[in-house]
Amino acid sequence: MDVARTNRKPVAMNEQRRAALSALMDGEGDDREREDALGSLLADDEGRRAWASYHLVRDAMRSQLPAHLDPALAARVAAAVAREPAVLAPRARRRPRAPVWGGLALAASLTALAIGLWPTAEDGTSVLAEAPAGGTRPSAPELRASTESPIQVAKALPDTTAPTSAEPRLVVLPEPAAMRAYPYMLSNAGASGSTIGYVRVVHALGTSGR
Amino acid sequence: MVRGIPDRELIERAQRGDRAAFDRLVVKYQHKLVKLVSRYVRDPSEALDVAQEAFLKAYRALPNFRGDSAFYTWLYRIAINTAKNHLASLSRRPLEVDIDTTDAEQLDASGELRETATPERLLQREEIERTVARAIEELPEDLRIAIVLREIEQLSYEDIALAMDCPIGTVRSRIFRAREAINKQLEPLLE
Repeated sequence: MDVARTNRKPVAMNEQRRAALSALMDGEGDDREREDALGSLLADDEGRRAWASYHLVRDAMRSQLPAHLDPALAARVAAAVAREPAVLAPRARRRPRAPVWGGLALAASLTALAIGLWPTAEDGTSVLAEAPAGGTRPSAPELRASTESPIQVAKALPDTTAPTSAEPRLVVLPEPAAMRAYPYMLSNAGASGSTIGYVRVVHALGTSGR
Repeated sequence: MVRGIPDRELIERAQRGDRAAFDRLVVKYQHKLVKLVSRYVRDPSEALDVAQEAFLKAYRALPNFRGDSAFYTWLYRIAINTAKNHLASLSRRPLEVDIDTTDAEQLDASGELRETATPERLLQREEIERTVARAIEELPEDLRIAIVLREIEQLSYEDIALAMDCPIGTVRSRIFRAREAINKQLEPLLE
């Protein structure tokens, strides 16, 4: 029996395993090779030692070593982990969270912005504004939405953007100001022949907002 | 671009109860984590303890890791919080009893208070970096170029093959042999 040949084979296998781990560490190799190398990595201490030494070299070359290294740190962590209850399988994904009120308000605002359909008075301000008891038209900073407007939805919900506010304030810019914000709209208003000629810019503000 | 390193596979296995998989993640990230913690916790021994605690917290929180961020990013946050909590607990500790400096056991040969660092043997970064640098210098040129392009420039095997005008299999072999040669020189330090 050729002892030398017999003895050579285990060394070659070790080298193959280590070479596979070296490639695994670099994310190289096809799926089959990666899977095999992963198994090798987890199989025994030899795989672990190779993995540790390759990463030590990498960290040294990349200046990622701490001032002091403890060769026994990973082993201490492993011992501590061994005393822990087994990690359970990943939890089932939680149901999608209900949209926060502010998000709904934003959605409502954007919807209103996109449609721009709510009725306007002759002077271009929104009829959503309820006239105060004195009969004069409310000023821009604070208007209340009609019960039919999607903005009403936003109004009814707590304002999460300003935690100190008790009730959201809605600001509807008068027509000229709104149009100034969207010069594109100005230049294209009426070009398509659409009856939608207005843009409403609605902001939900806290009581401290201006 | 380098393909994904096996963190994802290791994490999934760890989440299914494979403690060896988690151990391999610890081995991979231990140095970076200790270095990070050391920015907050100066004492080397305490830094190691904090790093150990951070890894343990990470293990306990593993079911909550959903892969929204990279594993190290997630680990990084745990480590920072652990370090900060450690510092906060230090500030809440009652004043320690004064060390009796007349106790000879507390003093080293020069009369200074002896460092009470544990564990018993810590490796010094400078020593390891010097050894690695020397080992790289002594490598044959093709191995040296390959390992530097991989570890410093972080090129993929494909890009290294292009740069060195050789097959990808040759790149793989050169990098492996370079690592083996460097490890051989590190062995005496690690025994």
